[in-house]
Amino acid sequence: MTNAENIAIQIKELKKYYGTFKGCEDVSFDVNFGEVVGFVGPNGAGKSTVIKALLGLIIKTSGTATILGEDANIRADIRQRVGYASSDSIFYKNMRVKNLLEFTAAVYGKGADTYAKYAKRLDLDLNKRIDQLSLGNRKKVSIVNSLMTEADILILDEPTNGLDPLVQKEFYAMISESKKRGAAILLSTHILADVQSYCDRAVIIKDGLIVADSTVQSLVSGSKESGKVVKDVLIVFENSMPDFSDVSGMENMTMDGLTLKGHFSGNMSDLLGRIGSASMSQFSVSDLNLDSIVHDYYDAEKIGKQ
Amino acid sequence: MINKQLLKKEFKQAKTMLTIWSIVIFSLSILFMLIFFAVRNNLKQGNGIVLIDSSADWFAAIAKNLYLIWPIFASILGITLLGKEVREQYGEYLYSMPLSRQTVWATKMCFGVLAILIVNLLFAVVMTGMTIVVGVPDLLPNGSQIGGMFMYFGLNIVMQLVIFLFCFGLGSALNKRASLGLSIAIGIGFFVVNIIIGVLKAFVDPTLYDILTYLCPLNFADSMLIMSFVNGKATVNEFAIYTLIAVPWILLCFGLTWWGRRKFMLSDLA
Repeated sequence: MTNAENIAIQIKELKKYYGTFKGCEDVSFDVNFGEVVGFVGPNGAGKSTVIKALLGLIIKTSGTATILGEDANIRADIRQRVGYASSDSIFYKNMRVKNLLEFTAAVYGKGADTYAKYAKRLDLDLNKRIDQLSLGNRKKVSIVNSLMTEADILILDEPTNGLDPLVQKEFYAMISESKKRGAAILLSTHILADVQSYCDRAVIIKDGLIVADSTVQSLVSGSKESGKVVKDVLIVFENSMPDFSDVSGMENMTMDGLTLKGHFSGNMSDLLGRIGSASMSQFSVSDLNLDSIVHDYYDAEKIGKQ
Repeated sequence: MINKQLLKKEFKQAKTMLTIWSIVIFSLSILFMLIFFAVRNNLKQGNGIVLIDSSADWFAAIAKNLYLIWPIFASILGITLLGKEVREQYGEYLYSMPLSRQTVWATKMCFGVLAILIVNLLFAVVMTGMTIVVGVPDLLPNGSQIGGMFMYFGLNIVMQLVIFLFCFGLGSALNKRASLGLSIAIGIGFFVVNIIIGVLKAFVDPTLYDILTYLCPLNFADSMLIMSFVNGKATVNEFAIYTLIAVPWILLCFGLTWWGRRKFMLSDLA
């Protein structure tokens, strides 16, 4: 399979404006088959806008968003190969879960019982009416509705919101199975620990713009500036703090009294050399976690606005 | 073009709504027929204006002014079929499936047309049966009145389809801004225009009045005119004017529907 053939979703310079309000701007990224991509961003960052434009639910202002090289708004049949779970999980309230899923199965040309195995795994009551369901149960309907299509592209918009931990675990087990069979999965979520645990790649969006697109591994071991290794450092000195002013890589470090902490992106031997024989009550150097990286981006946004 | 699964789902979901509409319409019809039996002797004596001497005549007299329910039924169907889905946020589910906008649009229109036909067919069967059963002595001397009723049923469907297409076109263009209130306002609006035209009768030339009459699509099913026609009292000219006005109305509705479809194809659905 060539690189081009492996691309399931391709978004290029996508722009969507609602009147004068910006939904997203110049968004570009790909999702390949056999890959889980975490789509991360705060509320209102533009994640759902990008997903809706990709599915042809809203009309793009400019740019392209294609599934298997086709615009879903023009070639609706391409959605036959897409399973979608919406963030709102709103369905026809006067229908029973079973009838709704049967309708989905019929439209996708699946057997009427394809949903049963997924519903059983998530402990979903099929006989309840949609308007009797809690948010968590509507999320389960949304997940079953998308996975039962057994599509090779899954687009899941905040699927785990409102789910209890056991169901979340089962959901990610199903995602792993889908990945194993080669599906391309775009997973929009707020839960960064999940992205770190289950996603191969993370695309971070803020204020409608993509600010990072990298493998989760390189995000947690690298920095925003390419080629530098970043570590999360916390040192508490006992008596006095050495002078670190000429040590490079201290840009994201803060000094507060006897405490030095932050993301160190320089040469570790320089830092250790400067510490020398100074006595410390606490010393820790660890890999960054995605949570702190994403919050760095969010904070940068806040600082930028100030 | 038409998706059978979606059409089936529309009927399943609309089952309650269509049953309620049918019950309301049948109840009104039965109520009116009961009133006829209560007052028939007074009507037979005549009051110098109109002489109603059969249940079919009575039906014609009430159908014209009291069946406001038909245009409201057609306008609600037309306006809300597409917009309600997006406004109540079901659109994200429906339009993310492998159904093109064109398919959803055409299937919804097909559902609307079929719903009108089914409810009207039921109405026609019940009304005809009821009129024959209760009105046999009246109808025996003049069997043509049943023909007049059938003509009314047919033209009543034309009137509703015109209003439905008018509203479906508007609903497609307005999308989620198309509300239930708007659809009722349109139905009542046609009725009010009809009343205003009726008031003008005293002030304008009769030919101009005839033309004005058919500017309102409610008069496409003018039961009084139909009964006059089957009783041999109407002139052919009136039907010529009817056709003259109805054809542009139908063309207008098709135009509006086409324009609405174009707007719908380019609108945000979630």
